[in-house]
Amino acid sequence: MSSSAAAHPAHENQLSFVRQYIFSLDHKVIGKQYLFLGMFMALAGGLLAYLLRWQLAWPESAVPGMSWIPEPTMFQGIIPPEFYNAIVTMHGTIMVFFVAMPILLGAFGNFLVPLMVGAPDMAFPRLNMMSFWTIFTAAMIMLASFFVPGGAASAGWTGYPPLSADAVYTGVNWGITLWILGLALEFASFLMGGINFLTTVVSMRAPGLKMMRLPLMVWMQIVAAVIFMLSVGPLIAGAVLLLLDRTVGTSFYAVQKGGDPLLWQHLFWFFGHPEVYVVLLPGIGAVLEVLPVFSRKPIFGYKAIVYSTIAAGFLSFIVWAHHMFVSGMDFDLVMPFSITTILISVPFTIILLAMIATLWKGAIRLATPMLFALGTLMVFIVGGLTGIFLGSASADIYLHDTYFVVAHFHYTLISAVFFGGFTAMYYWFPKMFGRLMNETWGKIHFALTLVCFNLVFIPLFKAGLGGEMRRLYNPFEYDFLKPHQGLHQFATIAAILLMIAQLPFLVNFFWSMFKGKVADRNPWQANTLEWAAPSPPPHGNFDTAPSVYHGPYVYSAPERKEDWQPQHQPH
Amino acid sequence: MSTVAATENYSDNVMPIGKMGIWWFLASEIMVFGGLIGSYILYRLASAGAWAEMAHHVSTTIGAINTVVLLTSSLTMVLAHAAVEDENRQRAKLYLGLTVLGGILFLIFKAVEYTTEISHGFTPLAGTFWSFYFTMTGLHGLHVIGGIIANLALFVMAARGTLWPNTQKRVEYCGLYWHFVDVVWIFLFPLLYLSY
Amino acid sequence: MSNTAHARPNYVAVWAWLVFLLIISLAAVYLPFSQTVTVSLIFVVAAVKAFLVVVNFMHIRMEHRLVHLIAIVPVIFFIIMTMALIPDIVYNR
Ligand SMILES: [Cu+2]
Repeated sequence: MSSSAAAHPAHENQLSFVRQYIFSLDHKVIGKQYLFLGMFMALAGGLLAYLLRWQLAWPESAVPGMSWIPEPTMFQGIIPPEFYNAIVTMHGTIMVFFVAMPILLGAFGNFLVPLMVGAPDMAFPRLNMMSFWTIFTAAMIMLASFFVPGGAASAGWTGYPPLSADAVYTGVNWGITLWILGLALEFASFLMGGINFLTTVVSMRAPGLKMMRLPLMVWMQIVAAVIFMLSVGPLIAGAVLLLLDRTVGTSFYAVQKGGDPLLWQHLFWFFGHPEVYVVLLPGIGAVLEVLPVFSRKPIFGYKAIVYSTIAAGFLSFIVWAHHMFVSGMDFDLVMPFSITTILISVPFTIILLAMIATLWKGAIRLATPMLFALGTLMVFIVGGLTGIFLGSASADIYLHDTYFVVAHFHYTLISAVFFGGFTAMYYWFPKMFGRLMNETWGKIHFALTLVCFNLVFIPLFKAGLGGEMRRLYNPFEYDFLKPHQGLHQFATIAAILLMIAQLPFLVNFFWSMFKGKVADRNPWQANTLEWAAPSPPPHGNFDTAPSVYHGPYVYSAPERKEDWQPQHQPH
Repeated sequence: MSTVAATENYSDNVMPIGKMGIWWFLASEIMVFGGLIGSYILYRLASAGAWAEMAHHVSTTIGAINTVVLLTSSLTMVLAHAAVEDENRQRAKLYLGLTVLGGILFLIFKAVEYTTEISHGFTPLAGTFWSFYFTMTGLHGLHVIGGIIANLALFVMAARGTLWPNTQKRVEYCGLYWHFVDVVWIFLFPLLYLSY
Repeated sequence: MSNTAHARPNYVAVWAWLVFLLIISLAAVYLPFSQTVTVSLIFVVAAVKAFLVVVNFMHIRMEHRLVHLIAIVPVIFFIIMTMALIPDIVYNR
């Protein structure tokens, strides 16, 4: 036997507070650390969203409640153009790298992967702890960059050179250097995390848990980990080159000295497109876990889903240039990348069809996790369909860099991160904290979120179709965009309501953590292994190491009295 | 280690976790160096004349000597692994020590090279080739330093006898990494020292 | 998993081959070949050397199928990426 975490003593009472809650080796504690970090960063990213939405609705007017921010960042609540650029840059960076990834992979991946494969902990607990403290450092660097001279990075979340390569263009020097540093640490953190996930799944599965018996959430997590691992390398190399351009004065991206700024765009999107799936797949995984449980039916087409996911993962590496149709790249590349992009909708269509077919004739229970799962499905379909327009070059040349793109990627990412994340949160909360969340408040939260979210982003589709470019400080300086102000004011009010709609969740979350109804082991009558452990599971997870006898989705089997059949129970 | 597939479905037996972890790590490393090498190749193809002029000033001799040094330390590394498997602790210690020495020798040659080049005015700012040259060999050098530290730790453990009975597998894992660093150099050598 | 059961390659002989290949690539540069021949020769030699190291020193043959995939798939993605960038970075400066 290998020297794994297998032999963890279960006497956590003897550990000091620091070892138990701060420098913990327990994958569940680390998962919760990721969760709280992600939620905290979501507050920061949400504050930035509020600022930029306000600027777009009522440009250059004082943002309510923000007059305390000192000059030269803001002037009595008025956002200057330089700070607006920093706001949009950091909103994107924080939301993708410090909210979506920590919550969906860091928190739920860490918490669920060992439990779902029946392992006592991650393969490398120390590495796991290190990966959390690395991303924590990265997050602090990102936040600190707002306070250095010149302010935070303002070259867009994509950091295109020459904007990002030289301070003369943006006036931001330290901010962008810290931004690159923070991202590099974030990448390192998730590489460590990915190695841990993959090794745990390959080498620490419970007896009988064949790969084709893994819960789909685990499949999604490992495919996401592989995609991240293989796509981030070139960007790390590119970031090293960018950092050298900024600090040493090399000219990898400086066109006047023999460099090529397009190289960065290629390296960035070679990572950037797979990255979308890195955050998308775990969200879909949560939905795929919830649908069979709450319709009391086996998942439709388990193998088709697994193979489609792998196919989508592979295809995600050969579509990246669809982000660059108007970058001036070689015209011969346009057609192939259009084709591969539209091809990638095939595996996702299969997954979506499998989801819908799972619901067909099921005994559907509309509990909060199920509602959010259905919401994910709905929002993701809109996101996916609008992606087809952007994938075909002829439409993209018109729509590129407009609010249509903004609306499209918020539909795809928010479906996964927000709706998928809440699906996971409401579903696994009893396992994480040993108590149930309040259903009524959950349903109110869902209804408000779904309505407000659509009200924010549907107007932006229209603004984009009207030709409005994103990243404009004050769009209404242009006559032809003046009629759009109403759309933006509508979207901003809806966005503020969307943020207020999260209050019921926050209250519910913290209240239920301490005062909620105590949950038993398996409150949803689900099959997967995490429900075989106590709620919440102790250090070391299972009372007795489980063995697995069948797949994870045996529901409503006619020969059984109960309509579920846990994976660890023999027939 | 128990033999493979005795209990066919208990998957821990497919591969020890240490080895699995190292291989995933190497996969991500391939992509990091791949991105760098790919960028270099593309820039090299794009600018023919001036580049060859710059590339003429590297020392092929030191590069070739360093290749031999690194190949040899790869050999001693794999011999250390073999010694560990044969339970020959004395030889394991010897070969681990030689591997560390090989890594240090490589860095010494590299330092000599860097100083000569910089003293002749070929700094990282002397042109795109030199920027790439210092970035690529620098990143590779950092990996060599990492390997030296890891091997040194194993050497100390072997000397103290604490490598056995639980952690001798680390020699194999460290070896995988060390050979990978060697493979990277095998490609860097023709890319940087031979293609002018 | 004990590898001792398998026949162990003659490591020193492999090393000798590697050094010999290094000499070939040096010869390719100093002998009056055309540029095409030189360039293809040195990179073929590098590929063979890498193959020898991976097969004999890293023992990849004895490993699980998954390890083969882990080693090959990144290389394929690297090649795809570099090839796809040729029209853009090389010809369209
Ligand atoms: Cu994309």
